[in-house]
Amino acid sequence: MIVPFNFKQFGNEILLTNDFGRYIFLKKHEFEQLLNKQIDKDSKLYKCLEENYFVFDTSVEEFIYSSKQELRSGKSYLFAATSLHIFVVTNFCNAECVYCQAQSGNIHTCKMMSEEIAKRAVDIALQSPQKELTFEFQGGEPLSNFEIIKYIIDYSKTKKANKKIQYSIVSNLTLLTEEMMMFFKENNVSVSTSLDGNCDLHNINRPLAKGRTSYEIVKEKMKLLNDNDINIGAIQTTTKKSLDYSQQIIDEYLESGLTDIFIRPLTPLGHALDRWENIGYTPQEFLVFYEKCLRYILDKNKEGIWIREGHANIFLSKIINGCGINYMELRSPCGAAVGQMAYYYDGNIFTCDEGRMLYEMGDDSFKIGDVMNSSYDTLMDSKLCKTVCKYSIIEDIPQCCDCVYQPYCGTCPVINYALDNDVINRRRRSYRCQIYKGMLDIIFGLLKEEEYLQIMRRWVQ
Amino acid sequence: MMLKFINYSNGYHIASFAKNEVIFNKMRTDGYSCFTVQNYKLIFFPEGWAVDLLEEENQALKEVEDYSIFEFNNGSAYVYYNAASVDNALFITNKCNSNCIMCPTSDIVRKNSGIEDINNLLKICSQMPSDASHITITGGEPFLIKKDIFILFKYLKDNLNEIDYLLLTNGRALSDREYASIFKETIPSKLIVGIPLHGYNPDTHDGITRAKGSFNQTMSGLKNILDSGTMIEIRIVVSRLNIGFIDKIADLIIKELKGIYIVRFIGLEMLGNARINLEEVWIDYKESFELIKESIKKLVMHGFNVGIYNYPLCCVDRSYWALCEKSITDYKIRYLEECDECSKKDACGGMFSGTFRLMKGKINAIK
Repeated sequence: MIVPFNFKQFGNEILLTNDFGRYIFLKKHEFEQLLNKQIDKDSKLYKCLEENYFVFDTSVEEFIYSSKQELRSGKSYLFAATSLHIFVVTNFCNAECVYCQAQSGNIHTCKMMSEEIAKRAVDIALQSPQKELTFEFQGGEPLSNFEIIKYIIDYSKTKKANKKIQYSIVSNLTLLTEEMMMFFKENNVSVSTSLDGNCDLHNINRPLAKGRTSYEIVKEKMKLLNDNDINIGAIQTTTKKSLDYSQQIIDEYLESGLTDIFIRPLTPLGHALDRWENIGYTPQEFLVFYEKCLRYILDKNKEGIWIREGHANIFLSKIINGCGINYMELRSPCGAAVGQMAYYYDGNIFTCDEGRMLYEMGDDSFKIGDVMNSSYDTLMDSKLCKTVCKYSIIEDIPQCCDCVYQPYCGTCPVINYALDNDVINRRRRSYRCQIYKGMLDIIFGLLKEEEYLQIMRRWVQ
Repeated sequence: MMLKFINYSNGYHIASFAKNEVIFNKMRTDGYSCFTVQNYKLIFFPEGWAVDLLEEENQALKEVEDYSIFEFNNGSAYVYYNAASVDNALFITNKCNSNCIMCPTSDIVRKNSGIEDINNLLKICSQMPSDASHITITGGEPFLIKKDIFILFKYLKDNLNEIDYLLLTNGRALSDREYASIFKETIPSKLIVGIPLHGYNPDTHDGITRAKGSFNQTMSGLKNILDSGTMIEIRIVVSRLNIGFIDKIADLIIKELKGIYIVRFIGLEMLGNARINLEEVWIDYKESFELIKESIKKLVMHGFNVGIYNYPLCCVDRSYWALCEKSITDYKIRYLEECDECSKKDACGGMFSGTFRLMKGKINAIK
């Protein structure tokens, strides 16, 4: 029996994938043999198809019985309740990043989360039945409301009972002081910052309102955090300017002692959308850049230098290990509400980080409740929660359901809605779709090269 | 599995088996009590005993995997932990404080049983591989070892916490608040506790367990641990005795036991008491399924996980197959002649060796 699969022409071969996230490349004649059930059952090819759940000889029921664990581990995130809780402790920011999605607003507004709202937000977050939680502090620039961060961490520690909470902060580090650092160290708070590349590039993308350059500061503070053994990571955002600097960006990360880099395309929201002509690019332009980066990273690994790329790593975990990573926008259904929740400084609760960004642009469609009146149960029971889940199950969405990359991909109802006024993307080959498809084309291309395959295997081991 | 060793006469002894010298040496460095075969002799460490082997005894050992744990008694050994099996048991006692009409263990076996010494249990656990896939902690009624059971739980939690456990108990001991609270603190993380419900009130339940007060004790035991996040499996053994009120048991679960992990419907194994009380107890799997399927549906509609154990697929409506599990231990599985014609035999868990003949003429091969 043949198990349902998706496929597409890939160079002169055909790439097949199935619900288990397994893949195989077949020559055209082998593909025809498969469809006509002409493959010799003793052949190596048949064994390979069988091992990867493309064919089976048992009864359907036995096949389901023996493969269900595999399916389960690919969707393991479905067995978890909301684990990522984002506290947007302020909307104030002292930087003016060219691509800011978090606000297209006014840097002079300076709104801070109050203790009362913080307390109620924590109470709701702790109602999630999930045992391991992540509390992430965001802004604006969250360090501008350090008092509330401290309050949330202290308060949640007294209330968490048997839950484990991992704290992390997303910051440009400009406001980091000695006192904050000591507090982070004591409370095991990990820090995530932005590093867009070398000095010129970083400063152009991420100018500060006044004073020293952001590059200078971020490098200095990263070193300080490192010296204090605080777990620090960085993400990169790609602008039109970045496209020419693939190697310099990666070298910059290596020099900073970072072994993970997350090469990210722009999200066409907020400032980024307003300024698309100056900072944006076509998906093809981004993909050329991504491939250059990835190849450069892999070549560094060949030389014995350990560094991984974030998107590739998420995809590879599913492609190679069959293990679904709980990355909110590359899972199906997406992580909105059921995987993450964003508590805004004013007490409104949103399905996700993107949902609150839309609110900052004046649209509260993804407001799922507020800390005064909601409980975890009412949030989960809400129509909005069901909507974002239902319309992000890509096994069910036209175009996605037939796509060879469906087992690895995801969709974002918020961005779909922001761009086209519909939670389902109905356009053929949207920006996001082209980017993810293109990334996977590149990754599957590289998997065919034995040396790269070995490196990528090590990444996800 | 029981093996004969005619010449063994050193009395009760626990030791892990090593097929070859490399493993044997590794066990010795790890401080295990262990034994291996050299020139038709069993060699024991650290005791240094050498026991002559017969040819057939030597042959039988070839089937046994490294790290299996043996319980020796004079003349024989019981493979307590079988490294080749995906499901092993920590067996506490055959004794029980209930006396169910359909118990597959006979009165005599239950009455004459001793209770395993906690030190022996700990010794066995100390030599058990930490990657064992599944361990059933069972009896009889395991709580009859009293508070020693918590020493065992604590040991497992501290040393073998990654293993999936199933504890089979009637839950009566957990009606004691002190027991319940120590229980919650000491059990390993991945332990499921399986507790049977035979009726929906004292009359119907106690009528089957033949132990007055058992219903109230089991229910309060359940409630004592329900709020702690412990994974609870409610087991309903379906027999002629309770077939008339399965639906009321389902209602009770829906009303009072929200938050349990799974409800399992369990088909009969006709041994021991069950066999003696055959007339009163036996209901064939097909008739039985017909009478419970609405209750199963009701539980599923209320959001409960449901599993169906020991029912051959041909006795279950196709739409319920996803709930059926291959639940019978490998060496007890039997099929009837008709089964050879069945296209779903590979997906079917088969029938108990002690029961399958009762199904003669009642099962149909699925084409």
